[in-house]
Amino acid sequence: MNCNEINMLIDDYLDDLLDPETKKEFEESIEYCEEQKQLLQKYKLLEKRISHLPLSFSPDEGIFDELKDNLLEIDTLRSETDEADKKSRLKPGSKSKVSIKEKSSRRKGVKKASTKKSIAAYLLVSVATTALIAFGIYYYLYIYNNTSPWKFNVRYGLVTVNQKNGVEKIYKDDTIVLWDSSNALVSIPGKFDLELFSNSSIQVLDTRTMLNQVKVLYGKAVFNSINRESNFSLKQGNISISETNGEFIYETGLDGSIAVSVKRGWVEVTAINESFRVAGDYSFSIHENSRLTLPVHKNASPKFKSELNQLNSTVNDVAALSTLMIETKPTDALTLLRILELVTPDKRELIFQKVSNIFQPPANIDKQDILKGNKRMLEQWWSYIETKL
Amino acid sequence: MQHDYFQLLIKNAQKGRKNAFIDLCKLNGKKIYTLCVRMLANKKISDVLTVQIFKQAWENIRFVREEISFDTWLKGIAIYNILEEVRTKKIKEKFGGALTDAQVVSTDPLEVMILSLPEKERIIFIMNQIEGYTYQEISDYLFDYTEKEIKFILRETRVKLAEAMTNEL
Repeated sequence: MNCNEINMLIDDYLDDLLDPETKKEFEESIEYCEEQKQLLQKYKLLEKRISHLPLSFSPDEGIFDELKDNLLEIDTLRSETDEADKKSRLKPGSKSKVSIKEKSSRRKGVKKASTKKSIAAYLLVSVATTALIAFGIYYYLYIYNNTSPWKFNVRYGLVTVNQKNGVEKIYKDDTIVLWDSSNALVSIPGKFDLELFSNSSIQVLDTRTMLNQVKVLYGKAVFNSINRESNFSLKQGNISISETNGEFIYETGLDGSIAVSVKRGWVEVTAINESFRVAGDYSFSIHENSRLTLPVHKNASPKFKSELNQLNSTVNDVAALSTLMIETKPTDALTLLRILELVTPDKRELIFQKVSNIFQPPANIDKQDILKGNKRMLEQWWSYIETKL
Repeated sequence: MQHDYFQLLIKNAQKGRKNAFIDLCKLNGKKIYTLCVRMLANKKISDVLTVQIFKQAWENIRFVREEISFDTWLKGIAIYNILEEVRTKKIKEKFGGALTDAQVVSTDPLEVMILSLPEKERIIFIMNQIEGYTYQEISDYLFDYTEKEIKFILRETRVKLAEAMTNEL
């Protein structure tokens, strides 16, 4: 490395961006370049001074008094808005008809018992009918065909909904775009938080309580469930990802591939002809033509991952399968179970033995059923291993 | 212990307790105010902006989660507001000509050198060298600049400050 090259790399060296080999060569070569050596020393001195730079400026105490006043103002504004909302929702006189009738009948007090009974029965029936109709309308509008919106909050940055700014609620068919350095949160009633990051875009497909769905057009989104009732799914072409009591991250890469990594709980992935589960700490990708890769654990060894790549093209590759078995760690058991499901029956015995060595199947798991690829049995074993991991 | 206390304040602030939030602001006040002063090199604008940052934090406090550091979350809001001011000059224009007496004074030679840098150089230098943002992250914030341009500006600023520091010593 000559002094000019040293000069070019000096910033990357300071920022620790050089690979170990180049770094070593840089450190050896700079000894022969006096000018660059001195510059590096000056840079290091500057870095040291910066790391000891104190928080030099303190705000005046008055700032916090001003802030207190501002917080009070915000609260007053909020309560005024809430009050106005309540007033606009009130319908005068709707409740009084029954009570007026009751009062007048009490005042008269001369009507026969039978008439009273029939009026009471009539009132009861009409109230019940009205309530039933009201519930029917409510169910149709807000539960079955829920048009009520999801709460939408822009934390920072520029976020547009259908190319508009300042939107606080989102509805079905809305498209949300997050521009540079932006972050937003969608609160889906009682079920989910959907956090969107910079340069992301989603389209809302459905906001029905029974079928909440979005489609991520591009970018990164975190799906985080608040409770155990999962009724939310993400649609990507023919693939749907439903999440159960946990959190997963969905991210589109520069090459158009999509990476899904599960942080907590597990997800159910449904494609045209298949469905499978992916557990926490596992991830998988969706490539063009809706091709799904095998799930891989975050602690899988590089060698395991490289053999898995081979199996992603041809799952029945015996050579790759054998090497994979050698490189398997206990945390990779669920990857093997998925492979067992996909390979031809003659290769299942080998995988069964390997997984059994790691996690002895419980009594209710029948080996022959597993070797036949029985879906229900495989799911039971999967759930057992998932709880052990 | 400190962490627990922070979490307690955050939880109370999320329940709407203003005093807990004010305590949180006081604990982070110096950090946020120093960041504003360094990046904007003006005390009056920094005063207004610090209040604005904390106001925004109050409006969004319910979104802070345990796994995200409050510091990082607050710094994100601060950086966004500071860069918005750099772009729009809203607060500066409000003050008009009354800003000449608001220049920042410091006894630390390095602080003085940083404050005397041109605005964009200063911002890029502080974001990278003091706040630890990568070239890519800075370019996300300052979308007029590519990563290459940021790297170039940073190099020039480093040389300038390193030389000045040597002369100072």
